[in-house]
Amino acid sequence: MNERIKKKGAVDSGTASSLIRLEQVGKSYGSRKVLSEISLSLDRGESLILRGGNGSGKSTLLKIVAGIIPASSGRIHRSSKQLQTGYAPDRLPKLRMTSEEYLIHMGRIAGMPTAALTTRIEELHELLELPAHSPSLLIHYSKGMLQKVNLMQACLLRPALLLLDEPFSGLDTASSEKLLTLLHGLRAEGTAVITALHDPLPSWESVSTTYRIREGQLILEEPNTDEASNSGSVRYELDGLLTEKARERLAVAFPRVDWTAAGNAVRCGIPSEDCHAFMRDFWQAEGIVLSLNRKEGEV
Amino acid sequence: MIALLQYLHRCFMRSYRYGAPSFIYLAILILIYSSAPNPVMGSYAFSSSLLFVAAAAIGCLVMDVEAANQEMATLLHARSLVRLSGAKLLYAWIFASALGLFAVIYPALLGRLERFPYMEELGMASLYHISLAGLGVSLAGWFTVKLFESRLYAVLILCTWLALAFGAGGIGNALPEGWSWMTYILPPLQLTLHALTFYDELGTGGKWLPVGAALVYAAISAALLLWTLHRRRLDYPGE
Repeated sequence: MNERIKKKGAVDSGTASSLIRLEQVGKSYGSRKVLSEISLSLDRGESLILRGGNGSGKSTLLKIVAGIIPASSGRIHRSSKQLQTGYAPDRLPKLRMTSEEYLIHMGRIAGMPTAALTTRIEELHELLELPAHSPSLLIHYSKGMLQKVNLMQACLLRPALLLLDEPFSGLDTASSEKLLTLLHGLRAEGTAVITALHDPLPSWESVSTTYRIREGQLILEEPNTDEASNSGSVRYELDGLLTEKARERLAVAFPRVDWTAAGNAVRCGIPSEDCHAFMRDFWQAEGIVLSLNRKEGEV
Repeated sequence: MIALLQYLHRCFMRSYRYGAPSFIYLAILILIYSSAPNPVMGSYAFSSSLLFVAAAAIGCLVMDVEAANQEMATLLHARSLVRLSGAKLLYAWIFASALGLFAVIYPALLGRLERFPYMEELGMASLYHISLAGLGVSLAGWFTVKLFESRLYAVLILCTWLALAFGAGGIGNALPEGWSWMTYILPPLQLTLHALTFYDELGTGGKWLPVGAALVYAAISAALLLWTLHRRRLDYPGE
């Protein structure tokens, strides 16, 4: 599960057998160009992370890939006209339905057989720890609970292509881990996943290709190159609590991590490529994470 | 399609959006029929024109019954915006037709007309109401936030278009000679109102023409709307 997929050397146009392939896709609203000359391809079981600031065009690109909005220029090739696509928007509106009613409607609209639909709804509720037969309407749900329902509707059919817009927004730590388990499982079954993300997510990043949208262009983030690590262009800053003994051991294991310590309180500057392994060892050493922030362009 | 209609019905019922147009429509009918007796087909002429307006309001509300994010999710499950939007138009038509049938049956059953209508009159009145319900819904589909940046402008232009439909006869008379063909662009509401007003004087063709004209106009309007939506997809002009 943790094996890193082969990173693309450049934003390529993919192969003819790709699940979906974008060629020089652009999107403009009037004179405002949101995306320009986006080319990428996605195969089965591949995952891709989109990063970028607010309004950079992440959601727009997801909608274009989903076929929800048309591109202004360029071409989109899908492996099949009936490519099964799941899409979770950044937030679900509060409907006057229970989560079960809502998912039954979505499943029926998608043409799922009743028995399979019922089983799948139970399974997803159990996995994301939401009561399946709750009489509460979605209008009474918290942001995190709504987000779970949103993710459930996107994953209902085990889609070939799953598009998630800020899927971890509003989820607590336990739910985030459950979602990660679900995503890893779907990916292992061959679902290609595109995720628009703001916050760092080492476990998902380690199996994903990360792109950044900057000024409408799609730029591949390559944390493994020497250039990236030498320039320190992507680092993580962790504030946490860790015993002195564990700190000494981790400092030896990760010589490129910068440490600032006061008693058990520590601040670590972690190179992006060490982040996944470091975090695993940090938690194994019973460290407590107070915050973890992604830093760019800082030495 | 049935699954989509069931979903839309639940959304529409639980949104309570149907309340205002349905209540106003029913209240006006009850008020009008509080006095009796009323002419049979003349009364149906009034209720069908009232239904035309109510159907337009219901069409607008059903087309925008889903929030934008939910509509995107539903679209991905339905796999076709034509199917989803077509289901919305169909649902709005069914809902408005039910209101139309109420307008036909209610005064007849409660004896609010000068006599009990013949079966032929009941049948044709029902068809006139159903066809005008379809006409109103098919027009309303154009005037939603899917194609207009501002809901207010959309509603104002829809109201203008409905008013032009009511005034088509007068507009035709006021136009210079050779320009009266322009009234054919307007919704054929006047044909129905004329047929209901002068029902006894018309032959079979004259009675059926308004039903056919309204349904053909509604079908063309709906088909063009679905084609436009298919091309634009959910690229709302406000974004």
